[in-house]
Amino acid sequence: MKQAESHVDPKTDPRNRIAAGAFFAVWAVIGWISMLSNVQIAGVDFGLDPGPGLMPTIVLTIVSAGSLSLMAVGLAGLMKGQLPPIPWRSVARQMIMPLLLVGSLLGYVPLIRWIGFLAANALFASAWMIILSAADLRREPVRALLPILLGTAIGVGMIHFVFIYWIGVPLR
Amino acid sequence: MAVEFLNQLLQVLASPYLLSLSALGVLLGIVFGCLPGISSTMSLAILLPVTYGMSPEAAMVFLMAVFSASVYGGSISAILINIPGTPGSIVTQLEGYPLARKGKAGEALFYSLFASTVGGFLGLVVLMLVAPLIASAAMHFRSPEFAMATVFGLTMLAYSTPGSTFRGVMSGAIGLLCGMVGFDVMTDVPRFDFGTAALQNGVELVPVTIGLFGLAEVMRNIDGASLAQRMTVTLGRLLPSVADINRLWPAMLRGSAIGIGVGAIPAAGSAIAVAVSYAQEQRLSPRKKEFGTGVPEGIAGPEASNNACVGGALIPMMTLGIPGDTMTAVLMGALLIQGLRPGPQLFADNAGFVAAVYVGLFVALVLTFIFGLLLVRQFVRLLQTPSHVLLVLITLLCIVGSFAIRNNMTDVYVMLAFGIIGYVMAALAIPVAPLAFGLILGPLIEENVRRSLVVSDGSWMIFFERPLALALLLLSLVALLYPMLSTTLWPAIRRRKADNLKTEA
Repeated sequence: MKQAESHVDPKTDPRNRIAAGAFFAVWAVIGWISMLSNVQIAGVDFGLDPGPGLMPTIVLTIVSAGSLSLMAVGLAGLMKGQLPPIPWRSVARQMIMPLLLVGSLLGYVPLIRWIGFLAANALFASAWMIILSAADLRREPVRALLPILLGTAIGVGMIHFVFIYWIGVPLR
Repeated sequence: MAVEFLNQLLQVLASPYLLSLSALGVLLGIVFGCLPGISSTMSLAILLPVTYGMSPEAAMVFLMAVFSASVYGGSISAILINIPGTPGSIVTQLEGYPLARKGKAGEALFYSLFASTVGGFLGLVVLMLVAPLIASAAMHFRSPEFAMATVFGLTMLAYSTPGSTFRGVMSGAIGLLCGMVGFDVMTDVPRFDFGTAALQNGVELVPVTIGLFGLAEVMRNIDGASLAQRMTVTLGRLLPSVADINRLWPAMLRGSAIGIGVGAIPAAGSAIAVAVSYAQEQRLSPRKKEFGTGVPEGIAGPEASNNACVGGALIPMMTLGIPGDTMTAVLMGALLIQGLRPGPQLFADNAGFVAAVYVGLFVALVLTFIFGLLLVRQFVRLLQTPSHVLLVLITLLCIVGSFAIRNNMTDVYVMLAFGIIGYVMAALAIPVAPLAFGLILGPLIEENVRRSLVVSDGSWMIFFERPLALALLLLSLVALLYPMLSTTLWPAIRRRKADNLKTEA
């Protein structure tokens, strides 16, 4: 995403400022909802202690004010000048692999319970290594296949040895 | 402390277990450090779970070995393939790679190894001399001083990404919020738990750091993963002449002094130290014009500085409980897992453990030098490892490591969530490190602010009435306002003065 906006410094790009402000605003909104709906914080007298609501209120105020100011500066910048268009296609292309990784991890975690830790690891590792070296596999199949096989066998074996046998993590 | 250091040193040397742990840590540290895309912080974060079952001393011996060795390891790829393995070796490539292209890659690697060892030792000596003094002074701190010292530390840590202090402060604030999730320690009132049992125990530091520094890094790099970098330089002879080495002493001593000083400032970090050191060497060198063509002083100074930073960064972490950089933040997580909170009390209650940290670093430096000399050709071969193999295995380590903390799937999902958050933050140019610092320092700030207010009967004047607390508060304000003043107010004053001069003329 950074590369896509390389012609404008991301930190001074008004659109980035608005997006960053919105990111912080999401935290602030979630925080305020949780704080304001917490009856134990508002309705109890804690004596000399200022109570568990003091720091969250201070920090949420900072986050709220900061996010609003970021968005305001961003909006002002947006209204001021012409900006190069965002190459959405390139941005989306760069996000495919990370999203695929997160999606596969969400599937991998329950997979451990179904087929076992070792098999799930081997499947995950080999599948991803094949995906990532697809171009190399087409160009130089032998040179690309060897690291996949060795990487899966040695890597998964080492992780299994260290975590399951050495540390005793209860994943089977 | 000297007696405890010798006692611990003898214990480590007499224990095949501790020695082999240190050796393993050094090997893994050099290997991870030399592979581009795996920073020292990432190495520590993904190897931290390996220490769960160890005693605190053994865990620190292992982690100090990984920490120290990975810092040196970064220079191997910088010299051989012109890609720094870690941010701290970013300037090593400026002289190291040109020297390697002249057929002197082996010599360049030796300069780097020797300077790293010298810098590391000097950093350790200063750490051993200065840390007890600061810890002893900090014993007189009360809640207001601790609260303001932590606020100052957090403010400085917001500087960890140059040019985005405001976003750093905001990121730190998000970390503070994350640190408040779960039962409040003083009143047992649940906060930000949304009625779920999983969040009532709070957000664990380790899955957060693994997510932010491990998984998010993998997500950023996974698109460009490809076959290994092909090395185009030859190693040549490994040992330069004694005269060549002796010529580097001034550069190494200057670099070490810069590294220790800069490293001890929270958030300044090794990247700044090596840049300052390189600029200094260039300024002082009689061969100024040759810089960029492979001048050994340009390798020795920054590399000494890079490793001296390790000792420097440990000073605020060990004595005040304020991490000096992201690596010491992960180390602090390791201490917290072991039930040890860094700070002045650690020196009073666990002097033996503090000595174990020093010994861990000492043994790691010796082993790094030995392995660096003997196994250099094998490390070079590792640079041929395809990055996609590493990224996939690191992903698996992130999952298993976060599960292993409490054998709990919730921690895995927390790690996944913070991996995504770290990725989004990087995409939006928001620094992620302050979030981890906020999570570490949040509970400390809250506890001490509230204790201070209880003592003062609710009066905030307590922070202004105590001179040290006030000084730290003012320093925090200066640190916060400095970027604004330097970019807006001072240039405006300068412009006005220039205009006045023109009018007078």
